[in-house]
Amino acid sequence: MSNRYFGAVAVLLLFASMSSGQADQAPDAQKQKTADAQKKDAQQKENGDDAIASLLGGPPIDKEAAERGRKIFIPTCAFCHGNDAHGKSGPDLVRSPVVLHDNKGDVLGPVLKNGRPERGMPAFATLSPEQIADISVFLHSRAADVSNRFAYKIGDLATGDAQKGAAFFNGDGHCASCHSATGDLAHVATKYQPVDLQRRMLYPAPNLIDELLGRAVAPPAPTKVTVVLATGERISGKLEHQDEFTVSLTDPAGWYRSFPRESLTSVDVKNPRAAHEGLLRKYSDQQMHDVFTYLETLK
Amino acid sequence: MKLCVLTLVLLLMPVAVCAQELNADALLNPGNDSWPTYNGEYSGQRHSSLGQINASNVASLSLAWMYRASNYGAGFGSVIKSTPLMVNGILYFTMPDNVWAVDARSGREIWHFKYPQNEGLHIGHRGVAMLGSTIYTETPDCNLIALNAKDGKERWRKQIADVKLEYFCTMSPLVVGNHLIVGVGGDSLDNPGYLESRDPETGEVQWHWNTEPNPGEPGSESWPDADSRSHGGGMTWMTGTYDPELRLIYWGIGNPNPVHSGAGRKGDNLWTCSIVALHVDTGKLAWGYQVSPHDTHDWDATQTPILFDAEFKGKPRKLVAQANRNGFFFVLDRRNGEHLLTTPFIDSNWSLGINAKGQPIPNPKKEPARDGTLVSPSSSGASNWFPPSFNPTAGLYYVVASQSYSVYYLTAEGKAEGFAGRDDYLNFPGMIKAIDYKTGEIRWTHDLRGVGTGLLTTAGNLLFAGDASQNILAMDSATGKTLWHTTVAANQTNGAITYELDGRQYVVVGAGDSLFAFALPSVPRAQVAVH
Repeated sequence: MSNRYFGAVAVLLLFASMSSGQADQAPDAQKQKTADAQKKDAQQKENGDDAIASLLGGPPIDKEAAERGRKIFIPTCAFCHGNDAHGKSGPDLVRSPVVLHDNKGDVLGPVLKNGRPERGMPAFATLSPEQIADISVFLHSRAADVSNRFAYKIGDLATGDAQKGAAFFNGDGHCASCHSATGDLAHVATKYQPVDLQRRMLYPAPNLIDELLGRAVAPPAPTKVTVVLATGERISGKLEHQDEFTVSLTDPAGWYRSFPRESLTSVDVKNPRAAHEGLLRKYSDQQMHDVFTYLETLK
Repeated sequence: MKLCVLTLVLLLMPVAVCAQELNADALLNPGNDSWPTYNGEYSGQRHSSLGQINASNVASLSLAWMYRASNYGAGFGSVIKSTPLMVNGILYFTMPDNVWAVDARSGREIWHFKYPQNEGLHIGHRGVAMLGSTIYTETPDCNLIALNAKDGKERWRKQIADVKLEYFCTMSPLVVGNHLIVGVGGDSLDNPGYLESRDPETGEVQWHWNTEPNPGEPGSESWPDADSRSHGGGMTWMTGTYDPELRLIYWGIGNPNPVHSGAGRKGDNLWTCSIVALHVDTGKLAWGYQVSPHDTHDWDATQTPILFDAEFKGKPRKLVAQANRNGFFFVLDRRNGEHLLTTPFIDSNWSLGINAKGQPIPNPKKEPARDGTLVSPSSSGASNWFPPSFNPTAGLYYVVASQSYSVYYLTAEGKAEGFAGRDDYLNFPGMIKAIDYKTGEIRWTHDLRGVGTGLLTTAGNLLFAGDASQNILAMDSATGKTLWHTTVAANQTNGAITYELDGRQYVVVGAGDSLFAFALPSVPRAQVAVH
């Protein structure tokens, strides 16, 4: 239940963020919400995958029962239905309506007890109701594994050439003009899972998936802004928000200030991700793999 | 004879004045005092001929009322993504598991229907349909329910899809004559998609059309075998459009399954990612046009296929146009599906070019891979469900466009099923683009600084939209220049509607769990007298 609740909160954030654009340009109130949610997320971190599973894959799966079921399924059913229940000579049971309608063996039980001789399926009369219920849980867990993309495992990403990646980093990519393998990126490969590192390498902004999975995220680098007032006064600070009508910042004294755009003679925002945005258009997939493989060497 | 007519008129008068019912014929030519279907009327243009609010006075547009929903339960889809219907002074709108009726003049709640908790995915809900004195809605667990429009009491419910198989339902049904068209969603477990017509009285099936052709039908050869075809996806989760002269409905069809793996479904995979035209009385396919052959990026073609009659290369045409999730804008002749135009409206990087039929040719190297491929747009697409708009006077098609990027991963081990992969979103940009339907040329772009939602244009030469900073905007539809804005408590979450009541034009926007109605501060008496 708590998992489901957490999932709902996380995805609420996902959708809130999706429609509010970049989290680092969100107003303070929203940031506070995000911070609170991250705290909650951190508490729930170990449950993150379960939460997503429960969100998109139905009610939480009893993992122990699923494992007991798997151990019965493999010697009993896998010969025809495959170890992973994807089907062999017998049908695929992952997306089987019979299985999906089953609850603790109420539909599967009679099928297993009596078999389906007309389709060549023997009876398994010796299975106990508890064993059948465990098989049912295992099969439901397989359906959940398939239907829940956020629980999919992504791996084996370092397929590029680290040397070419280093050359791109220091050369055409102009990465070295902001980053250093021995400075801000020292040991970066030990700090993130490969899939997270690849995403951050491409676009270093807080990601919705982080929030969804309850991962700790480093706050984004502050965006610098300088505004010039009609009086000629020039104010620089940390950008808090900008839209078509208003620019707001925290000034060097720590005060929040906002300005209607029409009251300003100029607004100069140093977008910290401008170079990354440029590279998104430029990268070939091979270059992306090379640079990533290079970053993976920074242990 | 005259007397007879007069008597008839007298007899009809009380009915016409008192009846709060919605006649099917009224949908053929709805007045400005109503918004009786998801898109306001059948063409999907979301362009109103109202011009009381216009460029000369929009600066004084102000809040007429606000309604905040309550007691709707927690859930991540609990925002008003629905487009309200407005019939006889009453607004009808939804969130997942919730339907409300609210006074369109004042925002007062009239009734609230709450559906029991259920296991359907509560990702969002587009709204209701109305016929006679009945409101129809699809529930997250895929029941079609009929409610009394008067009091929100349930009349009946009928299952339209099996939630146990991971279908879920969000669509606003479409009423055409004596047909109630319902669609289904859910692409996580390789279910086949379909569209159905239901009897508005009983909810019984009138016809059923599978988005994957049956064996032997045209298009069935675009699947390698029966197994892939019967698990091929192709959902129908967005409301389509209708041409009363041709008696054809136009529907955008969802992406194929398994979503990110094409290995087990070699071929074009018809009619996934297609615009199809069906005969409304039989559900028989008139024609189909596939905008993304063999999709592996989750770019369904469910975006509104907008209908309009206009010249194309000097010839008057009955057209259908769609700014598709895959980043390309398509114009077809809607009588027969003849292809007329394909142009990009973002800089996507997944296509090798356009083939002789006008279809983008997928670059196999940009299919999802184990170590990732960098692709624009993301699976959220260059456009999405957010209602577009077409201004027939200007000949401009307006769409919320996104130059987004994702890394697409293939994850399936062994047999690919379900999504079989995932894309990792990188950025979430959003902008409004005004596309010239004749050439595909982008006339103007208005940056929303984040993902936007639905659009509305009016004869006042205005375009209404929401940005990503909780602002509601009115723009000059010819230039994209902002003429008015106000800030509300949340980002806009639906497509705005407009209607006129008592001589006053309202624009109603859903943002978060609230509706905001805007109007000019006061209407001169003389103008009221005219109505």
